[in-house]
Amino acid sequence: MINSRFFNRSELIGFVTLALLLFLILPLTLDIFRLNLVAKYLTYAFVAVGLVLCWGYGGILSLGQGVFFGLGGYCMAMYLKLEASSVENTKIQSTPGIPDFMDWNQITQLPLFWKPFHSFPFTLLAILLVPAFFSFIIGAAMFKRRVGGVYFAIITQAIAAILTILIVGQQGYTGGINGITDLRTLHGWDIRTDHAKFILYFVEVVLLFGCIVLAQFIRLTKLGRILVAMREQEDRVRFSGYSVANFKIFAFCMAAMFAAIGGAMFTLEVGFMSPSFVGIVPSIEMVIYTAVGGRLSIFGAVYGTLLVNFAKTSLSESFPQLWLFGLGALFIAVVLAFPDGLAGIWRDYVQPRIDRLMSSRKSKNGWTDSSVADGAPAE
Amino acid sequence: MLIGHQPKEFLLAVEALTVSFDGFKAVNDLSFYVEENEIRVIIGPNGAGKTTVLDLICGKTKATSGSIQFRGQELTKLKENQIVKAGVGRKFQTPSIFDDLTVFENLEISYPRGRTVFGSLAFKRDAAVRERVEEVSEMIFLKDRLNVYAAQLSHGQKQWLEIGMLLIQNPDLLMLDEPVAGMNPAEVGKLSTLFSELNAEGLTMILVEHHLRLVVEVCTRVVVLNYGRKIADGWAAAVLEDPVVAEAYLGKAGASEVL
Repeated sequence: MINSRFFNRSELIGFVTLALLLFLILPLTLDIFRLNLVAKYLTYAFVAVGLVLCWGYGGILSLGQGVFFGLGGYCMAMYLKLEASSVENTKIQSTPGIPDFMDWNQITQLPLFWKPFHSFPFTLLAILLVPAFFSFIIGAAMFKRRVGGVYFAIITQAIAAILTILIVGQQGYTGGINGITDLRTLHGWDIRTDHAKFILYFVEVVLLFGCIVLAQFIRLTKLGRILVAMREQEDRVRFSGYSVANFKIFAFCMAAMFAAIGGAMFTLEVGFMSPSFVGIVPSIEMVIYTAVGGRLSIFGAVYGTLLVNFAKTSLSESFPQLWLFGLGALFIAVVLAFPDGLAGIWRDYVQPRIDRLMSSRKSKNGWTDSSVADGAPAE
Repeated sequence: MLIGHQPKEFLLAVEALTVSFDGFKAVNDLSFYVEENEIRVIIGPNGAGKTTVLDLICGKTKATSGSIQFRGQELTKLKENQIVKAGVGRKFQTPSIFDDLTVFENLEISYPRGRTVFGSLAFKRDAAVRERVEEVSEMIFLKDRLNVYAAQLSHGQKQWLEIGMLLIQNPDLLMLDEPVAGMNPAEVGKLSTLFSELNAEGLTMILVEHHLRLVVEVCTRVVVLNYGRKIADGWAAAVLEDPVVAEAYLGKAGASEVL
């Protein structure tokens, strides 16, 4: 029976390859500066994996994942900022003990919504629950009213714009356009050292694999098949007795929580959070990572994110003005020529060759080829 | 003759049902009653509102006024998935199946268990599910195609698959919108046999049909619609001879040829 195993053969190869690459090859070959760069790229891979579930499987295109990336990132940044703003660190301020940007904006008391972020457990919960709450509200408001497709995409984009404006406008509470900067320690542990960056890289990769396994688990349950079914024939799902809206809300919330984990890791890796990672442009870039990787492939999303970001870094260093055009062209090219992205190229061109190679070797050894009966379900 | 009955004696009681789209009344003051274990056929010319009636019953379209009672439960206030849970199944005119899933998975999705978000996460493909899927796949002649993606089925097989997806839901009332469209005569025969068997087991059906042979073969009673209004209601043979029906549905000249 199809789907009786957690990973089929080609997925297992994909899983092992990615694990080798991220756990061994990259840490062993890259210096800490480059590794930290990869860590920064991988924070977007969380968003991309979430988008595979939500967009690739569920057909819900969200152009506002930056919102959730930002919410997760800001939650983490608030905790780190409070820790960095101890009374002795900020004794030159007119109000010691509050973040520096608040002091610059003539705020004399820590705002109420900042207070719980003194607690680390609360922060960890908030990183997951704040985006889950907002995505639930947005999802319920939209999907229960049967708003979908392009309209939903535009609304999520508007929300990304609104949140950016809100953050920039409420400078005293959010740090404004500069964001929350000068973050130093996590629970007393200095996150700026090379050693810390090395450790954080591994924490992040473990979390990413956690998300990948969770996404794969969801994909293989009946819920995963309902998402595919919904994407194709929403009415048939409805008339099979399901509340389509609830399933869409679930997929959207999962994607939001994945994005938030990525955002929180971003804050830790990079040492600051700003509205430039929340708005429309970063949100669309996140969709492009997923599209390039292949929107139906969980592993493809990770590779797509790495590839586009490497290209972005190298190209934007040499041709800063051209990069955005390059990104746009890449997106158009992928959508037109390779709608299934890197994963599709792998499946259509590389995999068959490997299979042929393997089967010819097998038949030389006198094995019967059982892999034909494997039946590869859609990535 | 039907007016004096209490609604709860019927499986389905449609009363004074009206729906208007921007002032156009697609269904106008329609009343009819379906008894337990009946096969009821709705016929009428194109645009008469037949499909709209099914849309109203299954909740796809909301009624402007009137009531639809299913076993005494008002359906006009329920959501689509609640209507399904109440026991009403609906087949669409063009086969609506899930192309990217296998025949097995298509049927499994319609299996009436684990229909909530967390229920579907916890759903296990156990022996009961497998057995039922195989049983239904045999009824719809797709038993040897269970692991084929639905996209690869022929048009007729897709129609069968959708019928199978409805059967696996175990509905009390099955509504089918032109189920034989795209089927060859042999398949039409198989389908009317299946309907008769299911009916013998107690399933109630509403068919929207153009195909007069099927109407004559399987139906008991017929409702004829024209311009959203009921113009006749009664036994097939009698209704089809009714001159009003003949004129509206078949055209004056055509009536004698077809019958």
